Amino acid sequence: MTVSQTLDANWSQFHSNVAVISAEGERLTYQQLASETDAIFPPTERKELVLLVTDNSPASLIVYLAALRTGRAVMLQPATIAADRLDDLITCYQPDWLWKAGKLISLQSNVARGAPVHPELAVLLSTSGSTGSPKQVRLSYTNIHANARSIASYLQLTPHERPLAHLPMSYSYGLSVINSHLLVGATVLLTADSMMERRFWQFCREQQATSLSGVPYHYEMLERLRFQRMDLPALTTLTQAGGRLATDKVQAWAEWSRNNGKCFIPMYGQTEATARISYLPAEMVLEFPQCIGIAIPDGRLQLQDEDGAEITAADQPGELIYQGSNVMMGYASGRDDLMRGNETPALSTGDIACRNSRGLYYIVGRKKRFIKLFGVRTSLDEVEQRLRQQWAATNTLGVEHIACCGQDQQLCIAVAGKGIAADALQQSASQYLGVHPSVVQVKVLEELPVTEAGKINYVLLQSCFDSDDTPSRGAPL
Amino acid sequence: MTLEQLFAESLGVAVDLVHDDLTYQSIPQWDSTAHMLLIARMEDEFGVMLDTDDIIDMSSVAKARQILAKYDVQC
Repeated sequence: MTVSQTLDANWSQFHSNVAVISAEGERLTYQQLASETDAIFPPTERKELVLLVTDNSPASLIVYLAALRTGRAVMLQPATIAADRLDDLITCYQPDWLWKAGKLISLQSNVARGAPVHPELAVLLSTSGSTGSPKQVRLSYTNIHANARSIASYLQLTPHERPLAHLPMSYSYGLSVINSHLLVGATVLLTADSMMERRFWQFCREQQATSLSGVPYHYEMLERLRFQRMDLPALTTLTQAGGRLATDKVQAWAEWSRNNGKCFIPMYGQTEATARISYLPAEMVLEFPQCIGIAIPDGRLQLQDEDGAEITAADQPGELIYQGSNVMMGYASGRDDLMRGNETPALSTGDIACRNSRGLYYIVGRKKRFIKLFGVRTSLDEVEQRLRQQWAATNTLGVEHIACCGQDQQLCIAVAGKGIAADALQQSASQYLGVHPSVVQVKVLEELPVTEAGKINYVLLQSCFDSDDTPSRGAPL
Repeated sequence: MTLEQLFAESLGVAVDLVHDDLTYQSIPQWDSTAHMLLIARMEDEFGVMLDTDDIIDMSSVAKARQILAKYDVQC
């Protein structure tokens, strides 16, 4: 795969199609998009790294595409990134360019020349955006192209599609919506507005959006907004990813979609697979709402037991392993890692799943300790470590021991110590993680439960939080 | 519960930060997620069923008071 064959392989065919319309009224054809992207960066011999702080504006999209088209690697971060975390990333990755708030800044004079960047490296994305970890997923041009092509294939995308691209570009799901539609010559309706704003729905209606994407909490918003009563005849497809939507909700959305001539398509994926791994075909959702479905086109799913042997029997649990051209090159934790090639032949998802007799996969648990907060995969171990470091450095709250457990949309923090104010801790942790306090639950225990080996017993710990719903400050142990 | 208290709890901010001129997205705590929680709390607390326009028009504390008044909620 050469650089010029990422998303723009067919742009010459689409030249007069409108590629992008923004909520602010900007409009660019594919021809304009191509010429705008060509004007961003001066020619260079050496492969450069661009740090792009995206605000879902056409300007930031142009910089992203310019980087892809000119063979630069690009790291995407959301506009909400804290200034000190951005500084950390700059120190850690030594980018040559920074694009932020409409300005492209050359950092070459400030920063010592970084180590070389692998020729296949295209995009760097965060896995656990809100924890501020410098860990990045390394995606190649092949990864980006392959996933976009698979998505375009199973969603049967045509140049007539007009997706409402409201998810942040720095989020793999958001980026995949843009990539898959730009691959087929469709019109991306780009906005930074949220569903809770009038302009979002005006834009949706006036520009006749044909599809809407959302993580579970967007579906909660849609319910709250009485979306099902809105008159949006052009909107025919709803996709859902970014964590598990409760089975009864999946059923309800599928039923409503069927009765109203729409398609509801639940999908499963990881940033480590560029975005998508599997999808549940619309016609199967009602019958199998608990399933994550089948592998995307050109991908392969299998289940492995603890010894790495493949499980072929129906309804037997094993770790879900994915193989396909969209599996990342590997992780990076700093500039020196960017010269590394492809190190990930198969992706161990960390999810424990089964395959039913119809060949559909369903998740039954997790091998690793991950939860999703607002669609962002969050490592409990990472959060725990960071909170420990934070309170070790500035222990104003009297914390002696701290451990995290939880489930999607509920981070549970258990602490032991003297005179701890759970409220203050909850506020502090939610601010630190950049999430709403309602998804952070804090419990003060006399001591944290441990196993015989002296490690934290997370099963017991979780049961302290499951036993009641009210945030108690008591010590159930 | 006063409207100010309800806002303070839903947004996770101190009650003295809540005044009529406080607008959506003027503080980082009042984002789209908090807005949804705010709406949910309001419906529970005041026993109303807000429609789409109410939700997307509720762009300030003053506006919230005005919208709730439509449903005979004085707060």
